[in-house]
Amino acid sequence: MLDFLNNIIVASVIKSAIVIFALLTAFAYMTLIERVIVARIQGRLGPNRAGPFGVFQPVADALKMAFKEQIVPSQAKKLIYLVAPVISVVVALCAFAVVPIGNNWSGDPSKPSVWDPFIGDINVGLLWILAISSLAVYGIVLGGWASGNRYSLLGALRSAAQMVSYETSLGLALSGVLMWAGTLSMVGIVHAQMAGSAQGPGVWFILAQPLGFFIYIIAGVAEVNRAPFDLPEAEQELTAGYLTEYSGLRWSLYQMAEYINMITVSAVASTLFLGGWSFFGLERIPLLSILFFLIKVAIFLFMFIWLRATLPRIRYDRLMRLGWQVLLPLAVLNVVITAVIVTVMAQFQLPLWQGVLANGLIGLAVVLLVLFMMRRKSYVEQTRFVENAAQGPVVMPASVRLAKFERIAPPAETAQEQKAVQA
Amino acid sequence: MSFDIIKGMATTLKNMGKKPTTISYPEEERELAPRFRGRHVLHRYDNGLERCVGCYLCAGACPADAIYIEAEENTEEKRVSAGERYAKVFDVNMLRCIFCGYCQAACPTGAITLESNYKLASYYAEDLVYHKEQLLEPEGQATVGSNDVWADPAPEESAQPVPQVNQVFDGSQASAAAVGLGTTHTERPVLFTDEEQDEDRRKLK
Repeated sequence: MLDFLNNIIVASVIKSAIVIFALLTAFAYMTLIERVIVARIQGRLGPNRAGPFGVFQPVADALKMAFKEQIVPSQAKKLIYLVAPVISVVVALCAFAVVPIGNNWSGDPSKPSVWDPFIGDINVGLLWILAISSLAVYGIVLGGWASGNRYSLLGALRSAAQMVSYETSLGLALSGVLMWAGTLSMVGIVHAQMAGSAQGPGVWFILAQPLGFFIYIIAGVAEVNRAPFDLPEAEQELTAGYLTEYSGLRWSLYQMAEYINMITVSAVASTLFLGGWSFFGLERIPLLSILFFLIKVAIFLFMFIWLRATLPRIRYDRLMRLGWQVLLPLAVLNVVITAVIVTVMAQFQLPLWQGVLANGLIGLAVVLLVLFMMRRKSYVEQTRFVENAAQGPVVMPASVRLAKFERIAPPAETAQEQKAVQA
Repeated sequence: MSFDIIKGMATTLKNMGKKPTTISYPEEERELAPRFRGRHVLHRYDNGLERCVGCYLCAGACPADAIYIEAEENTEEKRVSAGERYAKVFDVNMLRCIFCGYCQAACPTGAITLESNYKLASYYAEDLVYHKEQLLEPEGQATVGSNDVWADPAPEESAQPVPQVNQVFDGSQASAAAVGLGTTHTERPVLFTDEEQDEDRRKLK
């Protein structure tokens, strides 16, 4: 009687519903977790009044949002204004269609079933994610333009430029992984990182691609418009940018899209670089594999929150310079190095571990070299100023000029004129 | 540049391990400083007379114009304070008060002080104009209030003379307490007694 559940379409629909529900709950509790972690880093308690440990705080926030007045500005282009946040959320949710959350229920990669914990194993999974995150720009640009407010438009344009600049580096960083895994399918990439796998090196790709990981994390933070790259939603600069004219539930749709994008970037990073749901052989138990995946995603989410609590916002021109002049050349360099190593390995039939070692060491060397070069550049430009009490009186860098104030004596002629007038 | 980022992130992570500095309000309350300026209290002398003589100095000193006083003469039958007048109406509008303590500094008899009660919230604005009964200390509990943390306590010999009722004022008092004494005698004529300096040198020639 329940045979219809074995139908792949029914299974996919039900799995999608479960994943969407889980993502929305995760978004709600991410707001609470973020507030608690940022508060603890800042030496205070987070929300703890709404329930034990603040557990009902997201419920309270959702109720408040629902009751808030949703003002539609009179100069807004109505239809697009209403649809833009929906586009953002739908696009953010769609990216999860290809992320593999756990091992097959049979515990064996070669025995799939329709109820395996991923919604779809398309053979261009990675390309799907890149394409969907490019669509995310639409939600922001349309929302900013349709608000009818020039500050919203400026904020939206800035955000779009930022996202587009970092997307190229993101894609190139991921293509290093692609070369090693030999497949775009996300499930295939996870299988390539499992020990003893036939098609891949059997180690997590972070070891083979440290440079790619470094670039992906920075570009991922910039894609999601998250601190320190959150200029588009900076309250101080643009009065919340493209979000200015959105209130109530529409605003929380945009926030939902941002947090779900954050979860997606974390999920993709953990799938591609940390081995997804695999964990040194323990993943044969499917429930444990889901747990490992969730732990890895949670580690990345904690890093996002940690970055937000620590770093100040990057100025927009420095942000663009970082994206085009630093990350893009590095990503291209990564592709070149990886391509050379993979080809040499295939050509000379070298064992995989040698290729992983070579790529990892060269990648680490490039990362350290780049960091040292940036440090040296800041010394050369004299933008770096380190105060060392042991060195005696403080020497200012040459770019700082101390201002001197002098009293200006009134000129003698005007004093005489005033006397003449009074006499 | 980047090692600074790593150092910064290590600092924030270490801060997570430290105890937060938050005081969870209804469950814990902050320890107040001795000179904390909270709700006003009108004090009495130990013998039950009110200290406030209706001199209007606090109302004059108040920068927010929060104090309203109506003074009334003390009569033989009804002696409320130690001086010539007492404050019949003494209203402090807590919504105007900025808790600066200027009234406490201006008061010559030490009648009004700001004490440590800060739980003053109310739903109705009318309830926040405090009248004399709400501010005055009850009969048996005369205290000096926070005036004793503003100056060192007086040495033993100079114990504040408590004004007695039904005494005659002879004009030889020379201290701030004289403003409150008015027509009332005190137990001792001056605060300190120094035989050489204080002999009465008025001579009728």
